[in-house]
Amino acid sequence: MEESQIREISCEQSVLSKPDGSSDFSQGDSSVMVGVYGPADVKQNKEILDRATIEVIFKPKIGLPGVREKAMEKMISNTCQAIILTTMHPRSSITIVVQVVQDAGSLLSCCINAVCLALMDAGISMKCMVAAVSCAISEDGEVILDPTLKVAQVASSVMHFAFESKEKDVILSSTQGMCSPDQYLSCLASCQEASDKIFTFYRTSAERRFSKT
Amino acid sequence: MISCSWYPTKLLLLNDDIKIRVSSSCNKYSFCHFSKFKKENIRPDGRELGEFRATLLNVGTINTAHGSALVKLGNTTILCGVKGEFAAPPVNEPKKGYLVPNVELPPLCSSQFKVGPPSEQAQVVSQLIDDIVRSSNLINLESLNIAEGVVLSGGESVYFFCVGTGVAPGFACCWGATKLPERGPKALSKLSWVLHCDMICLDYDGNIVDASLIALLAALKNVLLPAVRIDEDTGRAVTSQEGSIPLKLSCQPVATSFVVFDDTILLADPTKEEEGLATGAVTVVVNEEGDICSVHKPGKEGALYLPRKFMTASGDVSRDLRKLDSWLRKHWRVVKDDVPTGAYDLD
Repeated sequence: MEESQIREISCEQSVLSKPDGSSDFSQGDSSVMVGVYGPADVKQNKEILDRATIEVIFKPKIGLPGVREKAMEKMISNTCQAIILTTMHPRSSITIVVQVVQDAGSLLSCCINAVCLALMDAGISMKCMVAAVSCAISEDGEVILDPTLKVAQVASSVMHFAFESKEKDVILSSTQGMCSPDQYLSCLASCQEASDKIFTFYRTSAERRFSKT
Repeated sequence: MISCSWYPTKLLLLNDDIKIRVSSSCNKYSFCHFSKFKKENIRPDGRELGEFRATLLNVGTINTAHGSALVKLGNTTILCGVKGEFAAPPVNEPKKGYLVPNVELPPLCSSQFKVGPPSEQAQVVSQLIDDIVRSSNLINLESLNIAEGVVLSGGESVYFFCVGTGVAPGFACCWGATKLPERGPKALSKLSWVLHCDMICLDYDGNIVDASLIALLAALKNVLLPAVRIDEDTGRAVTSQEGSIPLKLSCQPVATSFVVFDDTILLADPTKEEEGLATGAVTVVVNEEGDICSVHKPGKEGALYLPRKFMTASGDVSRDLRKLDSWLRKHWRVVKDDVPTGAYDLD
């Protein structure tokens, strides 16, 4: 089926010169640019004695960040905390700046994937990779992966999941709209399956980048 | 290095048959302290792993608000007040009103919060509550519409005056004036209710989402909005106590939060200490029909996640919460006849 596929993914790493790692990631028409600074100095009031402080700054395309953006920041930073080996860099900070270039649906998963690629580029030690997949349940109960804005608006519910690469465990789950437990679990399963495609993309993009030819 | 055994130990008696020996060098908030209890499948406050804290509910505590409730979930205390105001409806949805949930975590409730603009956590919880309200279609926002496209006479600025009469418990006068936009000699105006739902945390001892949602639900069920009539001659909106209407809620979402301890154990209704030591957290919101309104697992360390376990766990707990549910239903019936105030023990 054409609809239950992840949209075309493309990515460019090290696009910015100042950050330690950066990525320009797009998934369909959704596009996000991420810069990672760190491990660097940390403000004294944010210092944690036994691990690094992870700070996420989420910049919307237009306007000032509001409460919704704050919630996104928190979800991204919690996801990063689960995968980064923060204990490797005690009393330092890892700052992740997420700039939305274009929102055409599934923004949260697009951001998480972009952040993972930027962290790889920055060479920050991680336990595992993370891949996020969104899906929507249409009014007639069909599961649509990686929904566009238009699909998400009419859908009865939209869900975002992030999986780690080792066991495919769920790191993040966020839902909007109502669904039955069975629908939730079937969405979870199809997103889990689709996350493979993103992990393969990570691998091929890294391979291509570091191969000598 | 000084070993733990050098220190005097304290014998804790949780109930008749569980005795736990705790070293006094072990910090009350430390992992090792909790691990000792974990072995006995019990928690430091004597609860079982899946057990909720006692819930106390006091409805109609604030008589200057349209609806209010005070919830105590163990030590966690949330006070929710709902106040209706007139506002112009959203431009793109002229038939709807607004519901604005806001969670406040003042310095009073815990030393971890400082004065100043809302903390990150307060914003995140507010957003989550807002998402839950939207997802569950808790309130039909069209029912908050007062007037759509009223033709008002006169070219000068027209004010809506809300005239309240008398103060009854759970019902307050709403004094306010809304300036209407001028559009030529005849102004076409729209008017809706905006419900400001302020949830203030008075005591922060973990699991604030569940407590806030219970408080919000109870307060919304307590809301009595005055009847509004638009005077065609003056263009004023006049409210009257007679015919004041309770809000109609379409469902009753109940949140159940868990934390994952030591990557293997699920604890329901965590306290602040348990939240601090946990490796992961998840909040499942279900309505009375068992449909999921939200599954919120905001990352965090410890990737463990057993969807089915969470699902069944939330099923069990929501069965326990039927007590609350049935109580709220009972309460809802009371609202229709009279405005109830007073404290209730839900257990």
